[in-house]
Amino acid sequence: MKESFSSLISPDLRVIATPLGILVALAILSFISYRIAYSKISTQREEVAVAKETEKVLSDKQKVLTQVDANIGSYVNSVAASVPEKNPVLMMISQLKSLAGTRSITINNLKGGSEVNSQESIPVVALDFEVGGSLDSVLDFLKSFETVAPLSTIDQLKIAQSAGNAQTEVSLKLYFSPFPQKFPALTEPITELTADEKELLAKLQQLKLPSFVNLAPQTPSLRTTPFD
Amino acid sequence: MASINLLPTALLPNPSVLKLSKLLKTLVTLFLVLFVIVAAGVSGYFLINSYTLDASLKNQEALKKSVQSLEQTEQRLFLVKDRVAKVKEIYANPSVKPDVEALSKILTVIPTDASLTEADMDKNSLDTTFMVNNSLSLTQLMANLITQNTYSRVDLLSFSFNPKLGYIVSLSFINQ
Repeated sequence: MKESFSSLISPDLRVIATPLGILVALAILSFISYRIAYSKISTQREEVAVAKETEKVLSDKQKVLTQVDANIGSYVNSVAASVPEKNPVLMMISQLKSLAGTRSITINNLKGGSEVNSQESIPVVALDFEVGGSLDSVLDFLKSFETVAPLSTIDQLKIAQSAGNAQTEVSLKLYFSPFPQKFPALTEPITELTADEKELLAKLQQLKLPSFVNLAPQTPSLRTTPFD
Repeated sequence: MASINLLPTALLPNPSVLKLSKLLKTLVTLFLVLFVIVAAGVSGYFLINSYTLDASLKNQEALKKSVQSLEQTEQRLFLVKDRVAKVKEIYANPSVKPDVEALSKILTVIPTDASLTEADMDKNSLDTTFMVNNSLSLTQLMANLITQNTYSRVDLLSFSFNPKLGYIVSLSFINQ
């Protein structure tokens, strides 16, 4: 059967069939191998590029954080007091009283403290009050607002002076903003403080912060006359 | 002795076909060698990339540990940058503080027998009312105020005279 089949195939075809068949098989194998290799190598190259990029981001981040580690703590108190997390009215009232005390100024009719609707992106609280004293002292007092934290802007002023005494109605805007709730991911890049930001921080560090007193709990003491 | 081929010539392949067959066998050999070389090269490249990827991932883990140890610093830096951005917005807000400075300067040029009785400041203007005893001081006051150059415009809002108090002048200082 085999002999009869081979006798049907011409001698030319018999001679050429084997090398041609191997050549075609090699071509097909090469094509399939090329497709598989190209796909795997492309994926691998992408992974390597992503890995190198992530490595660079982490390396830069580590450098920046190591650089700022020494100084950043000193900035935190100033910025947190300049734009506090919560309504800063009580802090500002304490600052106003402290500033007034050194200038022979009286503060009356403190009003406000609740958040107002405003166009601004940062929450705003209004604080209105009246100030009494000599005009020079009052103006000096008003200029001193920019030396204390929290930050404020004078929205409106009305001064009425007679016989050397100036009565001033002041409308003050105070600002606060909740602290960020979401921190960046570990592999997210971070930039160091720019020259502008450092200059601003140096200015904020000059602001007088509100003074807080920690009251320690009273220790129990012996009553010498318990029925008195 | 000469070789004798007893096979009929019809059973022998064509000489040109035999040549083609030899050529094809050469091509197959070359192709096979090329295939092996390329496969070795590609495998080597693949292995190098794998090694680079592994090394990069190990380095990443070490860096991640280091960055995690500085987590508190990162949070502080993030907070500081957040607050600084807010402070810039606050400083960009209009305030009457420049008017307070300007009023302080105005007070330095008022004649001794003139006084400021009222001042009203908002973001747009500074409105003032002066009381002046005599016309000479009034002229001096007006001249001093106009040469201040702090405001782009000074409007006269009202002008009156009271025999007991003197001249009462209301001026509005505007920065356009």
